[in-house]
Amino acid sequence: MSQMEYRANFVTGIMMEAGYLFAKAMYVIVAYSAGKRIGGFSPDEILVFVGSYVAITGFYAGAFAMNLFQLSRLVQDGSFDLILVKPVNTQFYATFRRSDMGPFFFDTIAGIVMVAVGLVRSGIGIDLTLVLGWSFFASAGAAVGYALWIIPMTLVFRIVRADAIAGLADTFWDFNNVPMVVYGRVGQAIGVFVIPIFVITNFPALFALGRLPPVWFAWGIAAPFVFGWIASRLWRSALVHYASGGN
Amino acid sequence: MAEPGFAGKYAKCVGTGFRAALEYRVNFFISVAGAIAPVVIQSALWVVIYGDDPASSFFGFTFQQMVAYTVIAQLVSRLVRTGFEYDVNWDIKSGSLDRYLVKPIGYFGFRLFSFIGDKIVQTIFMGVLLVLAVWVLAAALGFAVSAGAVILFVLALALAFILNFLIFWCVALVGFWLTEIGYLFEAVRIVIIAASGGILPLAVFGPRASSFLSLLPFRFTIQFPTEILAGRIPPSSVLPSFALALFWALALAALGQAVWSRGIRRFAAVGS
Repeated sequence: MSQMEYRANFVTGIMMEAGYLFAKAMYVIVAYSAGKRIGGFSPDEILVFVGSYVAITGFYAGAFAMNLFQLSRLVQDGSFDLILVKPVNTQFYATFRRSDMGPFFFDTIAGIVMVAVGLVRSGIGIDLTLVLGWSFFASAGAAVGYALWIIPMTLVFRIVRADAIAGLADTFWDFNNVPMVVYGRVGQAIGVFVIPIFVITNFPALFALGRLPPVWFAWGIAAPFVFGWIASRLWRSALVHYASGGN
Repeated sequence: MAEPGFAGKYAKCVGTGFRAALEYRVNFFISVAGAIAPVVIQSALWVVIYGDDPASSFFGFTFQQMVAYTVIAQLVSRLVRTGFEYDVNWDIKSGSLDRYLVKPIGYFGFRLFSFIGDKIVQTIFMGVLLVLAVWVLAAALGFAVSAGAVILFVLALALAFILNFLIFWCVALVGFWLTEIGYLFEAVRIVIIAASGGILPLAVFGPRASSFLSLLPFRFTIQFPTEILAGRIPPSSVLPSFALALFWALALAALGQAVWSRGIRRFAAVGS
């Protein structure tokens, strides 16, 4: 919340997210301009996928991306020592201590609007069950995304300079720019069960469109717990290797 | 030791950029690796869209042309990318710009020639990657590149470097009026990349919008060199396109000079 002190940054943060939203929207433009179903999904249904992706990106960009990118610097200059001595869970504090409300609200609202427009244009009625189900899978997807980004960042305690890894991991978020169906069966299997990046934004959209198969429905509930546990264990074991740098 | 002449001073700036590029080569390699994701994403999308008829045309591209454009545009986009605007912003914000004002070199020249030195290293590596990419595209999709296209591509790429530098030089100078503009750079960058055809070809915006965007300087930073290499620019359009790109380079240089003149008068060495 300290980021709110810098009003210009708040405004320009929203401008930055608007720019990224424009880039994401280009894939929606392609879907509508192509004028055909893509992987069995109509352009309006593609809009639901991209909208889900935008909404969850709001959580990623606003709640923990900044903290993940700064983790390397904290370890390098020894500031991480101050986080270790705080009377709160280290992982929670290190990854959620700073937030950026501008991108969070902008993306979340824009994404929800896109999902709603896509559903209405597809002739799907928006009721309480759909809203609760989409919200649940979006939250579960955000939790999976958090775990997936924590896992490579635990390397920072071993190799210190891991900001390049954060940048590389960030680029793979973009695989959710298009529905996972374009990646084929093998790609989908890997992206759902092995490195579940597709669980993050595809499952809420599939649920809203009424096309989430039972096995994936169950996995969408279980995956946050499985990968949350893995991330937590890796964080704790990596922390053993932390040696204070800086002063 | 005798003071270096005019050319010698800026040659040293090229050397500074060259050494910095070698030092931060890992960052560059990671950036190139980051190009894999959009190539995979878009290639998968095009495979689905073109389906069983790769000869069909979407946005004026066949499947072969679209995949070639995707790969080459991503590599060109990584190559022309800047980053000096953050250094300029820091120099202005911290007040350390004043030490450059007393040096026997212009700040614009220092930044430009450092940028060129930085790009020498990246161009060598990218050149190898591009050759590999074209070879793979030729083997997989029958994509062909002519010798003339390669020569024109090199010229277009040199112009793309200069244009992208000038665009972000003008953006960086906003730092004279705004103090916290890190996010602004990213906002401008992503819109310019989109308007340059660096994400998808400009044709996806529709004929009217793409015609308008084609007149702006951004297209010459990514889409123009890409289409030159892919042989998509008709011979009759090559010279007029280069002329338009040169016009924009001169216009942006003049704009940058005007903004610099006003900004430096406003400059207050806060923190020096």
